[in-house]
Amino acid sequence: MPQVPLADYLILATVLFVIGLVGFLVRRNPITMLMAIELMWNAGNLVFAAFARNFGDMTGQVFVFIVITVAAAEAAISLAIVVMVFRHREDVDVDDISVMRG
Amino acid sequence: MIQSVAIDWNVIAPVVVLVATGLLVLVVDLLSRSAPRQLLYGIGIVGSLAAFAAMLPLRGQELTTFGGAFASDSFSWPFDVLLLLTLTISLALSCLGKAEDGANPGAYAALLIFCTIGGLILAGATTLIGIFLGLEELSLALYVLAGTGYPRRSSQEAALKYVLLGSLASGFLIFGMALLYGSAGSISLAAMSHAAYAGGPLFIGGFALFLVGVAFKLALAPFHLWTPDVYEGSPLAVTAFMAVAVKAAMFAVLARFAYVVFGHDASALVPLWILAILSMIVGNVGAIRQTNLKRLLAFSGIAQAGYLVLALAGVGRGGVATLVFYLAAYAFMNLGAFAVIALIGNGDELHADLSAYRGLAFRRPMVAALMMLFFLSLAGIPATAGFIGKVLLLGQAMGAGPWGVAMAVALIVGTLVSFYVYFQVIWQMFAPADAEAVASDGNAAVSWVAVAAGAVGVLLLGIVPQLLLAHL
Amino acid sequence: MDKFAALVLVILLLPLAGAVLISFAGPYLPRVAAAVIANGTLLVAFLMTGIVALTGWQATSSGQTIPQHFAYGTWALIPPLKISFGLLIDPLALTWMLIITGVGFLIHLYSVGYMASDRNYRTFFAYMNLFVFTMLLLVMSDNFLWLLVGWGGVGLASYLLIGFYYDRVSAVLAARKALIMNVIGDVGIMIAIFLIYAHLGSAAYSDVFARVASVGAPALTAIGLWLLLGAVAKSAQLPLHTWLPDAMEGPTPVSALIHAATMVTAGVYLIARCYPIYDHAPVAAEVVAVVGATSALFAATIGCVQYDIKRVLAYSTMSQIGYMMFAVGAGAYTAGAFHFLTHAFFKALLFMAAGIVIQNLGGEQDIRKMGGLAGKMPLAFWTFLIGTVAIAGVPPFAGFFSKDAVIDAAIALHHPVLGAFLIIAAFLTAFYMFRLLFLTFFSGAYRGDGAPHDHPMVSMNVPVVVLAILATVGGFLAAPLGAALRLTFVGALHDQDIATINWPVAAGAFLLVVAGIATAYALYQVRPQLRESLIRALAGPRQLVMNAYYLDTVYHWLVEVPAYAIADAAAGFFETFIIRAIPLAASATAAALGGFARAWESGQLRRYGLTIAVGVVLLLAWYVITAYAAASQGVLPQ
Repeated sequence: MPQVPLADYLILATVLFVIGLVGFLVRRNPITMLMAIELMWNAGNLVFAAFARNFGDMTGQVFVFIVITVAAAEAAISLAIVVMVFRHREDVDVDDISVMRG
Repeated sequence: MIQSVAIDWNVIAPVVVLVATGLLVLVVDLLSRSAPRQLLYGIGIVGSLAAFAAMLPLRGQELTTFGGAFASDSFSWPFDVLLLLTLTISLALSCLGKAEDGANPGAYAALLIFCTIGGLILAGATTLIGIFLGLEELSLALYVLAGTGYPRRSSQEAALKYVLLGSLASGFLIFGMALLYGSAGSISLAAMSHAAYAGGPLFIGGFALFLVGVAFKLALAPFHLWTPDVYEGSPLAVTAFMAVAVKAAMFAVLARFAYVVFGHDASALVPLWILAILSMIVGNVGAIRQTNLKRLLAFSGIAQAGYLVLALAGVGRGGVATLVFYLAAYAFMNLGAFAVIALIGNGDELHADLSAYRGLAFRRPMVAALMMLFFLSLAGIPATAGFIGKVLLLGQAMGAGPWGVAMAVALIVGTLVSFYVYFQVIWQMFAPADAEAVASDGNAAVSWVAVAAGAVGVLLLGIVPQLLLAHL
Repeated sequence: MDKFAALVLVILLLPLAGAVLISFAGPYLPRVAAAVIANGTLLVAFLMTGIVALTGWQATSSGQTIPQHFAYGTWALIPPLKISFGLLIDPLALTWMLIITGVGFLIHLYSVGYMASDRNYRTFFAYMNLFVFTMLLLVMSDNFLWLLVGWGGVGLASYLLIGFYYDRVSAVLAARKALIMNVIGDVGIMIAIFLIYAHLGSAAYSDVFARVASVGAPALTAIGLWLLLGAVAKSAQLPLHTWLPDAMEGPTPVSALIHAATMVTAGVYLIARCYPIYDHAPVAAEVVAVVGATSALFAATIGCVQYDIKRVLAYSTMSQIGYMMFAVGAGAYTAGAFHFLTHAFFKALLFMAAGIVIQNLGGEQDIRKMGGLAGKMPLAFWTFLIGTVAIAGVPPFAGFFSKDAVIDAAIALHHPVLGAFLIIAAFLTAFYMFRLLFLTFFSGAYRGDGAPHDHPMVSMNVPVVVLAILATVGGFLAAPLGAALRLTFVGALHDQDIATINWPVAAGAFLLVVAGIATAYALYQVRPQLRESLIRALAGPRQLVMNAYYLDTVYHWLVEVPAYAIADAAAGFFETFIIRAIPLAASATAAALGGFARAWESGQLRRYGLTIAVGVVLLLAWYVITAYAAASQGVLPQ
């Protein structure tokens, strides 16, 4: 089985990260934005996993598990918040959520 | 091979006490839906004091547990005290009649407590995993707390903005941590200092992204934009907690990172100095002409975060003492100011508006005098804690090379600008009252306790600073 | 902390506790409670000071040494600067403390009656207690920094009390003037402290005075002169004296306590306290002596022509402090302290007796509208008479001994010209004080339009009588005071014994005093016509003196007018294009930045996200650029 070089993992992770960031910046639906954020988090996970494999060290893998767990909690909370906002409005476009400014 | 890790329960006793308190609050809330919320918050306060009692034997000791991943040492101790103090005062302010808690006091109190646990973990974390877990525990609970005023549109907005931007910042943090892990081959900060010594793109890139995550939580410009909106939208007691506890916990992380990793060479921290200078400018200038006190204090907090960075200048020269002193001063004056806002309106949100303070000096001279004390301290007038704190910060920065001097100059200029901001508030209190001034007749004993705590702290640290300095 | 140290600390903190208590509990306190707190704290402080003084006296006379220095720990340690908090309770400090608490208590007691009908009664006592606390801090501190705190504090209390009748424009202006003059002095002290720290490496008296010999005279002269600036401003000496007569706008007890007995002598205390510096800086000391003697004569001449009873007393205060200043400048520190002691008795007495007159006349202060009051207000008259003979220097009253000690020192230390100034001033003092006495209490019938009546008030009469006794017998304190102060002025080069009297000089001075009294008697009792023709003959010089040598006008023309002229001239060009442009530009920049910050804070989440992203890019770019720069300086990467 051919080894995938570390650099390739890093490049892939960076690409995923940037896609996530751009997604966050261009989409206006909070749920889509959350998905973009998940992509960024997972790009980090990929880097952890790649290094863990490279070092033959379990710590990075454990870190990935923890990030995934936290991400689940984070998703639950953010979706609850989005629902809360939905209930008081017709639709949710983050550009309209700007009562507070200045 | 699986190694068993011995856990020293003494070291995490304060955390355990708080966890138990949080669970107890939830259980009591579950068993008796009719329990008055003051009871739940009272349990929380007792638990917070018990956690403090559990910390007393740890004072002056250098202990670690979880295989060195969590420390309770002379470094974390003062930050832990500040966190528990903030928790106590926030819970006390939540007891007020008009305080918002989302009509769910059990969950509200438990979340505040869990937030504090996150802070304690951050203060003691010596690995990236500890930092990540502590940070997320703190943040996730705060996202919900920001929205507990949810009948108000601004509170919903605050929660949504906070959770989206906070998660975005966490994305940078995780990616940065991954790169740091890659550069050092380990997640412990101690190992990272070797990587820092070697330099290299992995480490530098990782640190830059890590710094973004931390700077976001600290509200350092240009990562500060969420702060005013979230502070304004969150319920008053939550804002008070955010303003103080998050800064204390994150500065603990930043300081530990700076000392452990950059103890030998702080040149990689130059961007942090730039962020500090930017924050002092943005915070002080942005506070001009704000009409909402929570928003004004948010901008003030941005500037104060910038000031606090000065304590890290010239790493290794007694900066921690300066940092803790200014954080303590910051805690007392901010908690005091928030407590005054809560006091006169009995916890309502109307009194966050500056217009409510017109003529306060004539209606409630004592309250106005105390509010003036807190704002004089924020401005850094002698005989208050803020003054001594700024003197210490300047002393720290002046010996730290050109960037230190630049930050010192920014602090002085920023302070001058801030006089305008803070004296504006004081001036409002002495201006003739409007005919339709909102009633400011709240007088609850519990808020007086909080105000008095702030006032005593500000004055004691301002007049007898050695009381604290001698122990740092 | 041993018992003695605790006791001393309590003396200092009692008046502060009283001030805080009255301030914070003010609206809820009955008026009488405020008075009781203010008086009680001072009385206890005085008794405790007395205990300390007596203990010290006994210990010393039985050959023991007792600690004078009490350290309470470090106040702030900001490396390398260490500021400790400690008190130095030596005979010099005790002399001042006894007067501050003792005479302070009597004046507080007097105020209970004098201020009885004032609506800001509690505020008054809070301010007065605050003053006593800061004044005690000034004299009890063991280092220059806490002295400065006390120095500023008495200035603040003085400002608050001069402007106590804040609905009178003149009072507010007088308070402002006093504050400005005093701040000039404060800056002088600050600069002196900077110099002391720079040259001697400490601000604690013990360190500074021990190292004085290792520093050159030029540095010490500079320090001495800057300290003198502070002393001159606080003690109303030439040329910064103009605030003191105006300060009489304050209530009379304030004039008695702050502007006669205690605060204005802070300058004398400062120079006596710094005697090692002045002993090693003869030029600075000579300047002190010249300022003192000149002020003594200068103020005495003005006192001869004033018509406001309190202003006459104010100029006489300035004149008497001139004596003290001369004494400490010439090196006769004990004589200066002695004159401070007796002056506190008789000048407080004079002010309080005058206060009774003023109150009984419904606030009238113009002596042209008094006269013939001796029979109507016997207590005020007799006590005022005692004060007058005491200040004039009639034996065996207190002023005779202390003034004589100062004049003796002038002769013994070879200051012929300045000594002559003092002797002429002694003649003038006797003249203007008896002029005041005659115009107020005799010189025909009552000339005013009110109905003079005597309201005996126990709280006012008791302190007046006590002070009258002290003013009578205070001169006999010379021997014990001299013995005690010898412990402070160890190694002082020129200090003089105050207990022995140089009888020929004393007799000569007494003859002059008699001449002065006789002149006043002749002009104001026997031959009023003579006075009229004298006024006509000397109209020009009289005008000059009546207007206090036009110094206020000189300052107006020298300082205010040029300042305004420059400002006006500048207004045209500088103001518009430079002076105003800079703050305008600054505020415009701030406003623009603020506007930008606020506009950027658009409330829109994606804007916030974008900002974060841009921030990240810039941050990474910084690291890339610095790494590249570092690499290009070193070995180029392959």
